[in-house]
Amino acid sequence: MFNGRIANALTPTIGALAFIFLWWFIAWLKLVDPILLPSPQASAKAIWDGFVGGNLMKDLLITIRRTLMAFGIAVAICVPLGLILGSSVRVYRSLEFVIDFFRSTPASALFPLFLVILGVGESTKIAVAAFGAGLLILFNTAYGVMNARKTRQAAARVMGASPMRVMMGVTLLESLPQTFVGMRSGVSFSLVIVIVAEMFIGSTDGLGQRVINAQMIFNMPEMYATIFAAGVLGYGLNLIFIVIERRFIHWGGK
Amino acid sequence: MRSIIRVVAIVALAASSAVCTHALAQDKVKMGLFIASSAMPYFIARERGYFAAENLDVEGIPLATHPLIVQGLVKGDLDTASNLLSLEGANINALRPNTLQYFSINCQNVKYQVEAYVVPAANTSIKTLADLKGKRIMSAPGPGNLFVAKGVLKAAGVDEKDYTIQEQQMSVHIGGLQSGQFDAAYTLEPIVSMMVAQGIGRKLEGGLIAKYMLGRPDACAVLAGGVMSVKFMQERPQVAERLARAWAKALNDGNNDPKARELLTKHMNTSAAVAPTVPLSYYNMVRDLKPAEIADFQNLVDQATAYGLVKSKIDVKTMLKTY
Repeated sequence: MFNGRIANALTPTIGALAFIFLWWFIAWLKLVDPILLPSPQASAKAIWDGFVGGNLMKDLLITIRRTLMAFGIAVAICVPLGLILGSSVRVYRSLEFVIDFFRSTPASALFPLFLVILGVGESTKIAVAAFGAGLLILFNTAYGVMNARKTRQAAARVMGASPMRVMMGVTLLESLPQTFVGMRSGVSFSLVIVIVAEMFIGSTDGLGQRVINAQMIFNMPEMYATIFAAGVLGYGLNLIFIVIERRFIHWGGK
Repeated sequence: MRSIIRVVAIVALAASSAVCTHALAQDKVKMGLFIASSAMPYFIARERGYFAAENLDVEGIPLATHPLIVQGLVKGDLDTASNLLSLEGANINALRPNTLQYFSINCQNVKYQVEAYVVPAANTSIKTLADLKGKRIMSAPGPGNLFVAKGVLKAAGVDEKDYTIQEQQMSVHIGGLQSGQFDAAYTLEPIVSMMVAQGIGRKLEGGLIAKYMLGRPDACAVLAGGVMSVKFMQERPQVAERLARAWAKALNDGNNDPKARELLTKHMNTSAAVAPTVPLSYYNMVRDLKPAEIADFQNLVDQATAYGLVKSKIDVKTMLKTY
């Protein structure tokens, strides 16, 4: 029983350990020039130095702040909008092309458009990320509503529930599992776009700016350390959503 | 018997023609390009047949950043590069000695102005670099440009705490100045010329690195040049020599033939309106550099080392190759 629990806890680490071993093995054999691919030890030291003596923590927190702001804006706008669009198939179909068009367009390709509208400040980075994440959330929320089980909605109506009550008490709850799928994808997408924006649209801080600067001066251990920090952040955000989903949206798929 | 002789003759003829074809085959060379006006010699040499005259097939491979060019040279995917940032070259040689050497050097100074501080055309209160105190400045992107943008102001007596500076991609410089989000831009050609031509910006001062950081208006500020990997030069010395011969002709045309500028519009994202007049750096083969110019190069690299851009002190003479 106890052994089984330990085995379960360790299972997710197998892939990570195998990846680090493979990285170490390639570096040890010098299959790639060490200048281009530093060892995991060198990168781990760069992470340590970055957190202890450097400003990796500061950049990490700035990226987290931008990501959460973008995600918050996306949720605040797109969940209600998705509920409205999803409750009328006709309205959704009329806008489906626009939603799918922009959903298929790389958000980073829209940097110039956002720069024209919002200028080169902080707001552009957050707005592009919110835009990209918002479309994912909107699409999933609307589909969650459209795919809500009709029998449950009908039962509520038969029992005399008002349209608003049906929406809030049945449809919203029915759509939440799908909405959460959109939110989980959306938060990861926000992080990706914020980092790309920090790399390419003028930033003096953040993980993206750190990656590009380290690359420019060939400080590869620091570059990989920052990429690792970004990866851990993305994994952490994803994990938080999985935990919330399991804890609060327990009716999903039932 | 006669048929046997005929067969032998045909085989011999085929074999000899194969040998001849092989002898005539051009030597392949892979050259990394960073698409900017400093890549012009590549296009001149290609379009005017200088590579072909040396029996070379030089494939230009555009890469978006200088680190990717260095990566290609380290891995052996590239043999050479048309225009690699000097500080990028110094850094990789400091980290990994004998990776590459410059065989041509682009000088920029007050006569050949590539970099400049530009202010909005309507702003008449900023007259000198000293007036940038308290201003919001945008800089060309990358730590190298930021080092120079700050270094120039420091040499002009403006301390870093007296202004704010933010890196911005070159594509947003015109909009950033026009919208009033920034009071000044440390920017590069052809953006400087485009800002002036469109009436958006006024060149406050150009040729800054030579004048302020190297101390002489006619100093050779080496920001980029042509490089070859040491591996390529060691393994294919004859090919490297022929490449350098073709390159020298292209540099001469770039410096002296105004018609070569037509290639800026065709290949290097320069608008036709400014291409005839846009300032360019002065191209030199390393063999033509004067001792003072090599000292200028050393001076700039030493400053970059002190700033932390180049990992450790390096003698620039070890990075130069004469052909």
